[in-house]
Amino acid sequence: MKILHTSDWHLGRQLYNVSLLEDQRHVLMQIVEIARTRGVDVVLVAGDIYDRSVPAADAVALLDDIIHAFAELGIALVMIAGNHDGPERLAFAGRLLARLGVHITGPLLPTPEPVVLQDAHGPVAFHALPYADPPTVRAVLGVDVQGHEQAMQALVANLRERQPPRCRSVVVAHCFLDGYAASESERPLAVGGVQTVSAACFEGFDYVALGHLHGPQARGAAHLRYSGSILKYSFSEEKQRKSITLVDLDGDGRCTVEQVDLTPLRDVRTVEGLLADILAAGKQDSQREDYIQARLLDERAILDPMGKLRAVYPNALHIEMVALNRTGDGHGPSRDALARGEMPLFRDFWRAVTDEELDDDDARIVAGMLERIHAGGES
Amino acid sequence: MRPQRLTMTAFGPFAATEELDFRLLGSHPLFLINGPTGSGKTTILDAICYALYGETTGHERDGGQMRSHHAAPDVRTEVCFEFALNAQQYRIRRWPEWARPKARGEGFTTQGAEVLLERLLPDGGTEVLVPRKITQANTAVVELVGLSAEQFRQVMVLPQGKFRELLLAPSDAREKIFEQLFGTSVYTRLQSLLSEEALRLQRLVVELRQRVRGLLSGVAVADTMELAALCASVEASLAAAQAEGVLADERLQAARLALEVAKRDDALFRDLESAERVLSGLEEQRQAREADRVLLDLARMAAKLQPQRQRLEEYRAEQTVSQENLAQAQTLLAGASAALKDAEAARQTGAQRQPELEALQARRLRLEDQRRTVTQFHQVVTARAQCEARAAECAAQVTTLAAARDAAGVALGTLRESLDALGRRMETLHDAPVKLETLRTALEARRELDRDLADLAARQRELEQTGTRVAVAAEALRTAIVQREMLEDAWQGGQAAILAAELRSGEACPVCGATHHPGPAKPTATLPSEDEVKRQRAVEENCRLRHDEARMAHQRLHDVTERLQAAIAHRMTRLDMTIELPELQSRFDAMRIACDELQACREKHADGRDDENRQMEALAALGVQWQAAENSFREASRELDRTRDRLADLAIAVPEELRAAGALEAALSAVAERIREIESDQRVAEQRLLDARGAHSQAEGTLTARGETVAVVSARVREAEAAWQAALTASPFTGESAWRAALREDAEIVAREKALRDWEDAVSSARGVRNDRLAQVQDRSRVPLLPLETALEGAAAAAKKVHETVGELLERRSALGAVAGQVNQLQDELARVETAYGRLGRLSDQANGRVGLKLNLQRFVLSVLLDEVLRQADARLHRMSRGRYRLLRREGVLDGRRKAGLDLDVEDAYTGTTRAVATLSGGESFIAALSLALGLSDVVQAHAGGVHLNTLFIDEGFGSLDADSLDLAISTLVDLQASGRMVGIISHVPELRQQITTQVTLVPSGNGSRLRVIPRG
Repeated sequence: MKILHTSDWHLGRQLYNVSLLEDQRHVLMQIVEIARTRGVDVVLVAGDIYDRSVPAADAVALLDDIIHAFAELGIALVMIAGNHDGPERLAFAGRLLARLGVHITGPLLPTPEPVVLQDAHGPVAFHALPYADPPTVRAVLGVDVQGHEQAMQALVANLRERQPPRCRSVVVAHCFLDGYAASESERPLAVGGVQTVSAACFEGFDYVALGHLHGPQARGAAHLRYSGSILKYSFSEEKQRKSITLVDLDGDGRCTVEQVDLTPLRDVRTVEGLLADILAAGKQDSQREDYIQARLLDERAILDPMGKLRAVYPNALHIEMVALNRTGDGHGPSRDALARGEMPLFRDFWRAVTDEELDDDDARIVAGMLERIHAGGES
Repeated sequence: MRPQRLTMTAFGPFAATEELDFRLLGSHPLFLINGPTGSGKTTILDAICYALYGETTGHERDGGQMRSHHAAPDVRTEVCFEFALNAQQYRIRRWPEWARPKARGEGFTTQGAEVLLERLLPDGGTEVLVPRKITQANTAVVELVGLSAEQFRQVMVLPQGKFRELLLAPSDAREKIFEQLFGTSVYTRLQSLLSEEALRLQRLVVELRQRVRGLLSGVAVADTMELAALCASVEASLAAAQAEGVLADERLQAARLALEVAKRDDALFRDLESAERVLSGLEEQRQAREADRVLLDLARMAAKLQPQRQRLEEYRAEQTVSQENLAQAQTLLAGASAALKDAEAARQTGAQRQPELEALQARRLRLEDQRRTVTQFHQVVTARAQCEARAAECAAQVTTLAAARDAAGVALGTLRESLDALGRRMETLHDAPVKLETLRTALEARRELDRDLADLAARQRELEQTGTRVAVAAEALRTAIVQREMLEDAWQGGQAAILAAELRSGEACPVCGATHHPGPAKPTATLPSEDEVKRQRAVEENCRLRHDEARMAHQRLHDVTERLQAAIAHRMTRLDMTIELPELQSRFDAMRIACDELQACREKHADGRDDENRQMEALAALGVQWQAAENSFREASRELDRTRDRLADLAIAVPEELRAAGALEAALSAVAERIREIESDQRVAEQRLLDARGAHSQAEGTLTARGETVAVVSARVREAEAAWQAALTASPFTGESAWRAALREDAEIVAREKALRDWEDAVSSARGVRNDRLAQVQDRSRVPLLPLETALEGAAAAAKKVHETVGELLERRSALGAVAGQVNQLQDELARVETAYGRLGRLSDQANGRVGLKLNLQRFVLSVLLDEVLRQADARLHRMSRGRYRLLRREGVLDGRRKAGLDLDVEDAYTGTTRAVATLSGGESFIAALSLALGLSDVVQAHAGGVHLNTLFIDEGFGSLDADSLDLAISTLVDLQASGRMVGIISHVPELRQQITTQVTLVPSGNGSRLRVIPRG
C-alpha cells in the first residue's frame, strides 16, 4: 500500500498579514501531482487543514478543489481535524463523502470505526483520531481523564477495541509528542500545563501518521513520524525542508519511508546586513518575490527602512534593527535600585544632580528625616 | 490580591444568585469569560469593582441601574466577593440602595445601601472589620488593597474601551497614579521637611544674631571688645571702693563706742533726777492725805446714826399713803350721792307716762275686734281680681277664634279658585291622547318608508353591477361569436380550398354541383382544424350561457327593484310627505308631553277637591268654637259685676287705712311695740334707783374706816421724830445737814482708806530709790551727747555711701559678666547653626530642585520608576509586535519647568521614526496598553512598599487584533500566567474560545443570565 502522509496545511493562513493562499494552492497541486505520478493509494492528512475554525471562503474553495482532484484521481483520502480546525465544519457531509472515498473525521466519535482499504496483501485499517482536548474526551467517552496524556491513552484504547483482527493498522493523529521540536508557528495545545503526550501511547500500530508540529521529524522509530507542514509558516522554519512523506507499507506491516521535497512559489527567508548592501544585492536577486525578513545591522537610525526595502523586495514582511536594540539604558538605576529603598535612591539623586557623592553628615541628616517621616506616620 | 469567589444576586443580567468560584479555575489560571453580547461578561468585572469600591467600572453608582430587571421584587441585590490578600482571607458584601416592597400595604420603601467587610478566620469564623458604614468600608478597602477605585480600574482591570486611558493619559495624571502606586509621597515629604529645616535654621541664625546685638546694646557697648574693656574698668573701680569702705567702717565703729559711753553716764544722772522728782511729788500730797483721814473718821460716825433716820422716813411714808386713801374714799362718797339723786329723778319721769300706756292698751283691744271684718274684705278683693282675669281670658280667646275663622275662609276661597283653573286646563287638553296615537302611527310609517328607500338604493347599486356583468358577458359572447364565425369561415374556406384543390374543371363540385369553377377558394394561410372550430363553438356556448345567466340575474334583480319601488310609491301616497321626519318626531314628543300634563292636572284636581272638603269642615268647627267662647265671656262679666257690688258693701265697714292687706296687722304690732317700750323704761328706772342706794351706803362705810387708819399712823410718826432729834443732839454733828454731809458710802470709805495706805508706802519706797541712785553717780561726770551724735551720723553716712558704691559696682560687674557669658554662648551656637544651615540649605535646595539642573527629588524618583516601567513595557511590546515597536519616553525630562516628563512615544522600526502613542491603530494600541499595564505591575511588584498586583482582567480589545497579533498577545498572557498571575480575559472572539479551555461561560435566557464554570483540565 502506497501512502502519502502530509499534514498542517493551514489553509487561509496569513504571514504578517499577507495571505498565503496562492502559495498553498501551488504546493498542494504539487502534492496532487506527486500522488498521481507515484501511484499513491491513499493520502493521509493529519490535521490542521484550515488555519481557523471558521475559515475564509477562498480557503474552503481551495480545499474543495484539492479534494476534488484527489477524488478524480481515485485516490482515497483520510483527513482528521486538528486543533486549529472547527471539527463540525470540516466534517460537513462526511458520511456522504465517505462513499466517494473521502474520509473526513471531524468531531470525536465515541465509537469510531476504522476505514478499511484493501491492497494486494489484504486489508489495512486506518484509524482516524481527530484532535480533542481533555474536557471533550471526558464528555464523549465518559471517562475521567486529566491532561492530554491520559486522554490520549483512553482514545487509543478505544481505537484498539475496534481494530479488526489480523489486519495491518495505521493511525492518523494530531498531538504533540514528548521530546519533539516545535517551531514558532504552532499554537499551544494547553494554555499552561502539560500539552505533550508520550510516544508509548502509540505502540502496536504499523504506521502512525502524526500532525501538529510543523517541522518534519521522527525520533528513533521510522514508523512514528511527523510529516511537517507544507509551507514555512514562520521565519523560525526557514532552515526546514518542507516535504511530504511517502510510505510503502508491505504485507508484513513494515514501512519504507521517503521524504519528497516541496517547492514553494515564494520562499520564506531572512537577509541580513547593512541596508545599503541588502538593497544592492536585492536588485540582482532572482528570488525577489520571496517573503523576506531583514535583519539590519546599521548602527545609525534610518528613515523609512521598510519602504526602501519594499522597493526592492516587494514581499518584505518584517524588519529587525539588530544593532539599535538597546536592552538596558543608562538613564538611571535598574530594578534592583528601586527595591533597595529610599536612602540609596537619595544617594543616586544626589549623584545625578551634583556629580558628587553624598557625604556622611548629610546622609545622617537625611536618614534622620526619613525616620521622622516614617515614625510620625506621615507618608 | 487574588479573587477567591464572587457571588452575585439580582445584579446586572443575573436574576437569581450566580456564583463564580475562581478556585475551580486553578491556582493562577488564564481563563476566558465568554458569552454573547449582553449576557453579563463585563458585569463580572463590574461586580468585583462594585463589591470593593461601591462603583462599577463605568462609574455608575446608582443602585437601581445595577439591579437586575428580571429579579423578583423581593430579592435583594447583593454582591459578595471573597479574596485573599497577604495571606489573609477577606470577604466583602455590598447591597445597593433598593426599593423593597412594603411588608404591609402597597408600594415600596427605600432601603439604603449597606456594606459588610469581614476577615475570614482559619477556623471558619469571621471577624467583622468594619461595621456597616459605607465611607468607613471604602476607606478600609483602599487601605487594604492599596489602590483607589480609579487606580484599580486603570491598573488591574483593562476595561472595555478604556484601556487606552493609561496609555494616553497626560503626564500629570500618570504622575499621580505612579505616586499612589509606588508611594513616592515620602519623597515629597522629605523635600518639604528639608525645606522647613533649612528655613528654621535660617530664622534661628537671624534670631541669634539679634539676641547678641540686643545683649550688647543693653549694656551700651558696640561690640565684645568694648564690653571687655568695660568689665576691666569696673573691676578697678570696685577694688578702690572696697578699700575705702574698710576705712569708713573703722571710723564709724569708734564714734559709736564714744557715744555709748556718754549715753550711759547721762542715763544714770537722769535716773537720779527722776527719783528726786517722784519723792517731792509724793511729799506734796501729805496735806491732802491728812484731810482725808479726818473725813474718814466723820463718815464712820455718821454711819452709826443711819438706821434711826431710816425708820423715821418709813413712818412718814406710811402716813402719806393713808391720807391719800382717805381722800379717795371721800370722792367716792360724793359720786354715789349724785347717782342716787339721778335715779330718783328718772323714776319720777317714768311714773308720768302711765296714762299714755293705758290709752294704747285700749286701742289694741279695738283693733282686735275689727279683725274679722277686714279679713272678709280682703277675700272679696281677691275674688274680684280672679273674675277680671277670667273675663279678659275669654275675650282674648274670642278674638283669636274670630281671626282663625276668617283666615280659613280666605284659604278656602283661594283653593276653589285654583281648582277652577285646573278644570279649565283639563278642558283644553282633553283630546291630547287621541292626537298622540295618530302621530305615533304616522311616525312609524315614515320610518318604515325610510328603511325601504335605503333597501331600494342598495338594490339599485346591485342592479348596476349585474348590468355591467351582463354587458361584459355580452361582449364576451360577441367576441366569441365573431371568433367562431371567423374560424368557421376559415375552416369552411379551407374546406372549400381543399375541395377546390381537387376541383377539376368540368367535374362537378360536390357542394354546388357546378362544373365551372371560375374562382376556386384559395387556401388560407392559417387553416384551423376541426377541433379548433369545435372548441370555439364550445367557447361560444359557454359565453352564451354565462350571458344568459347574467341576464337572468339582472332581470330578477330588476323585478325585485321594481316591486320595491312600487311598494314604496304606494306607501308614499298614503302618507303626508309634506312634513319632514324630524318635524314629525318633535310634534310627537310635544304631544306626549301634553298627555303627561293632562294626567297630572287630573290628579291635582282630585287632590284639590279633597282639600276643599276638609277645609270646609274645619271652618265649621271654628265657628262653633267661637260661639262657645262668646258665651263664656258673657258669664265671666256677670260674675265680675256681682263681686264688685259685694266689695262696695264691705268697704263701708272697713276704714280707709285698714283696707290695705296687712294694714291691720301692722297697726296692731305698732301699738304693741309702743306698749312694750314704755313698760321696759319703767322697769329700768326702778332698778337704777335700787343700785344707787346700795353704792351710797357702801361709800360711807369706807370713808369711816380710812379715817381711823390715818390717826394711828400719824401718832407713830410723831414718836419717831422725837427719837431722831435726841440722837442727833448726842452726836458731834451740829445739825442734820452736817450729818448728811459726812455720810459716805461704805465702798467709798474702804477705797479711801486703801489710797491712803498706798500713798504711805510709795513715799517710803521713793525715798529708798533716790538714795541708791545718789550713791551710783558718785564719781561720774556728765558729757553733752549732741556733738557725739552728730559725729556718729556723719561717720555712718559716709560709710553707707561707700558701701553703696561698692554694691553698685559689684552688681555691675556680675551683670557684665553674665552678659559676656551669654554673648559667648550665643556666638558658639551661631557658629554651629551656620555650619548646619550651610549643609542643610544645600540639601534642601538640591532636593527641591531650586538650583543647578532644577530637578527635584520626587520627579527624579518618578522618572526612575517610569523608566523602569517603560523598560518592562518596551520589552513586552517589542516581543508582541515582533520587534517592530518600541515604547519610549519623550525627551526633555531635565527641564523641570515643563511637566512633559512622563509622555510616551512609539518608535516604529518599519519607518524608522518616532510618533506619539495616540497614533497607533486600535489593535496596536491595545497591545501597547497591555504592555504598559504589565510593565507597571511588574515594577510595582518589585518596588518595596508597592502594591501586589497579581491579578489582571482584560475586557475585550482582542477583536481588534489580527490573527498573528492575537497569537502573540495570547502567548504574552500565557507567560504572565506562568509567572504566577491570574489573568482573566473577557472576549467574544471565537479563536480565544478554542485556545483557552478554562472558561466561564455566560448563558442568557429569557429571564436573566446563568453562569457556568468550565475548569481547566
